[in-house]
Amino acid sequence: MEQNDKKTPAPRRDPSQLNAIEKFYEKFRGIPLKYIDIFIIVCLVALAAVVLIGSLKGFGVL
Amino acid sequence: MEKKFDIKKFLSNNAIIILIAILALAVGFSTQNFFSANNLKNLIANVSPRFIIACGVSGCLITKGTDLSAGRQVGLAACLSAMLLQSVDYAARMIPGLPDIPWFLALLIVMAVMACFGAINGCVIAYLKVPPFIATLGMQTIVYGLCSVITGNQPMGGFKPSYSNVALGAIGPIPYLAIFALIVGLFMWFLYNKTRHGKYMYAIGGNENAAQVAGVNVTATLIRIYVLAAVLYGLAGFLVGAKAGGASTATGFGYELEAIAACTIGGVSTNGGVGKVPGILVGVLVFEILKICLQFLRVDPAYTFIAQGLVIIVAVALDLRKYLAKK
Repeated sequence: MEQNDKKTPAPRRDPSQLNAIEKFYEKFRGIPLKYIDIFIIVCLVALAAVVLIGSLKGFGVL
Repeated sequence: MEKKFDIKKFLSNNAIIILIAILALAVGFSTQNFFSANNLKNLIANVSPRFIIACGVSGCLITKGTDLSAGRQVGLAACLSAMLLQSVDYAARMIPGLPDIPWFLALLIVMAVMACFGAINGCVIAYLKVPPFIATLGMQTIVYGLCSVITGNQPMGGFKPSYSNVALGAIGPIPYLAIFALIVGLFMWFLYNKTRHGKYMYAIGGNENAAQVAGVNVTATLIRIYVLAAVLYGLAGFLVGAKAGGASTATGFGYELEAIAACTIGGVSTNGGVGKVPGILVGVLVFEILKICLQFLRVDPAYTFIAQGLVIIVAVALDLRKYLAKK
């Protein structure tokens, strides 16, 4: 029984009750979490790259 | 049953904080003076007004709203403070005939004026049901226009020493700015956790209709939240003006995005109902430490903006992830 409960997806809320941000977030409902994780990792790598490039430019290496 | 520590979840929830902490340690050990008293003072001076702004924005975010006029309201408050607190003998006074007034009276006047803008924001959102994004975007432009009109787009300086001392002074090693931020932080913590207003606020953020049915006066609570936010912007603007030693229409530009990003990093969900004062402080600290790290690394200012933008994107992506994982 407990397992069945876990598999049942949470019921969707009435769209009229959602605010603008939730409506925007709802558009990503079909996207698996792992893709969001990959996006976050890509952004963090980009952040590290920007800091590195900016710093190298600041020190006159680039 | 004992709860298992989920390292993946922990890393995912605190990715930015961990990354900035690593960056700070790397910069600290590879450069001189990063771990110095002066740098700590600089950090506190930068964090204090931003924390006050973020506390104001947090109430709006917790109730599923936002306040895009925060930065411009801070700018207007700084300009009003500057107009009221220029030295009597300063040649280019904005209001030449104004008598010498004490700084705390000027602060009260500025906070009262800003409360009016907050009340307008709150009424438009609560009574007219205008989405907070639109209402505060409109207010942002109105406030900027008003600020340009009353200052004539002229930068202001020549402050009274007592006003400048509000930002520069200290009690022992603790700057006045930090004391202001500490008082606001304690007040907000008490308000959010120990009062009926705080409970109403979280209830509205969780489910506005359910809160209404349960007897919460949603309209009055929302108006109070936006008024309180504007009062805090007034205080922050007053401090920003004192710290900078001048004010202009450009003061406070972009502060609202920094505050929203800091709140999101600190665990305040843009979907409402979630957020704590210590988390907001952590979010603001993360953002300011990032800026200081970039300065120590001599990163070009253009790259600094790119880095800050990426942090905001990651903060929103993390919030989205939490939202999707919860459903």
